[in-house]
Amino acid sequence: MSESFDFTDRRLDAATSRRLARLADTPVDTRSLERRLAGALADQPAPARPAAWLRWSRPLQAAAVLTLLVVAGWLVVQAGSPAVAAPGALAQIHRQMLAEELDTMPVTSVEAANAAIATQWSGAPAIPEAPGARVLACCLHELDGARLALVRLEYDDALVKLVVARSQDLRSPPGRTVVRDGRQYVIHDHGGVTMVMKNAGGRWLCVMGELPEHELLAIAGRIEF
Amino acid sequence: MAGDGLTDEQQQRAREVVWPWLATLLRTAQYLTRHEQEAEDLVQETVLKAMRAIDQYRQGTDARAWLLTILRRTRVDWIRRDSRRPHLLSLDGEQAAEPAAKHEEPAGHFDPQWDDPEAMMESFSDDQLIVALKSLPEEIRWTLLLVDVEQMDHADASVVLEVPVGTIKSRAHRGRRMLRDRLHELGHAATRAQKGWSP
Repeated sequence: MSESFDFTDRRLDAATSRRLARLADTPVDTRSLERRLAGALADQPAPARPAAWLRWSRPLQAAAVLTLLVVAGWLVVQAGSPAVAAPGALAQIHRQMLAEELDTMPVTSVEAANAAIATQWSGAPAIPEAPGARVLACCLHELDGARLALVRLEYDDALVKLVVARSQDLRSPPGRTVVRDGRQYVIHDHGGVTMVMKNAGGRWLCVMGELPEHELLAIAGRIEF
Repeated sequence: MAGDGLTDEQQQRAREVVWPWLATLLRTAQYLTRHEQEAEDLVQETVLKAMRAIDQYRQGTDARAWLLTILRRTRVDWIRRDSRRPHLLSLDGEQAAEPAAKHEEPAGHFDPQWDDPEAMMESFSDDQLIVALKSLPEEIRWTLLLVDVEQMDHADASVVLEVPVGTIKSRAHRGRRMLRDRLHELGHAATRAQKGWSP
């Protein structure tokens, strides 16, 4: 091979490599895959087939596990299990806040909201930072015995509410699960109010508003929790 | 316990490691398989395997390389167990690559328009590039996907493909040349079609 051939070959290789690299810029739609994965992960796996000598004990094991579950469930109920964040109740809170029927405190930052809430609820979960949002107001509320910290935010022209509670006090009702950027959300909708819920770091969080689901998911993705 | 036999903690960790690379896995699978559905099946199986093996992943190491290794092994398993498609892949890739590799001076190699390689490569659409890429032997295709599309260095690609670095280098060079040949053929075919020539 001559030097000029090598040089040409190298140039061709470099150009080919650069052109191929641009294929990585093509957007890949992972939504269908994410839905499939969420479904696959939600299904409990079939238990591994036990060894023959263990099979006879399966009914006894099941009975023992059932008994334990009943006892554990009873204990949990006695200890006070988290309330369920009913979408209807949350939608009502959203409308009350919009109609200024709730006693809100005007604040201009998440830090100020946390400080204002702490004056009324010393063990309040921290409201996470919401980059790019204008913080308008905050207040406390109660839902089925669970205390909530609410913050009214404005993203561009969109008004949303960020609701924060302690995971031990409140949990998401079963609903459709969506995974975005590695985060799993539960989605609910009630009377035109969409809710994107998530548990993280001992907090239960919900972003809600009268916005399309994808916009709320995008907003939820920007919240630092 | 959460889905697929994982504790909540394991599942959370698996999501943190795996989910950011879903697009990379799906893109790679799309270039390896014939249909979108098949690509999603492949990635789904890969992800579930990765989640089950999450305890074997060492924090701070290259998650992408780890996942692509699982993807490749899953793909090899698929091909091995699918006796209906033996022609799709030579598992070592070398045999399949050999006939084309004998084209020391492929038809389009000294085409005058290749004086400007960048312009020549830009003249092909993504779709044409993908068609040409998909026509390459699988291990050659893997090499180009890792080294050129995903911009992995040769050492990382050699780990994923479980071959020496030197093999990666030679496959990359040979693969690019084979790709250009295919593109050149596609270009000729398109010209013939435009002019109404029969093949």
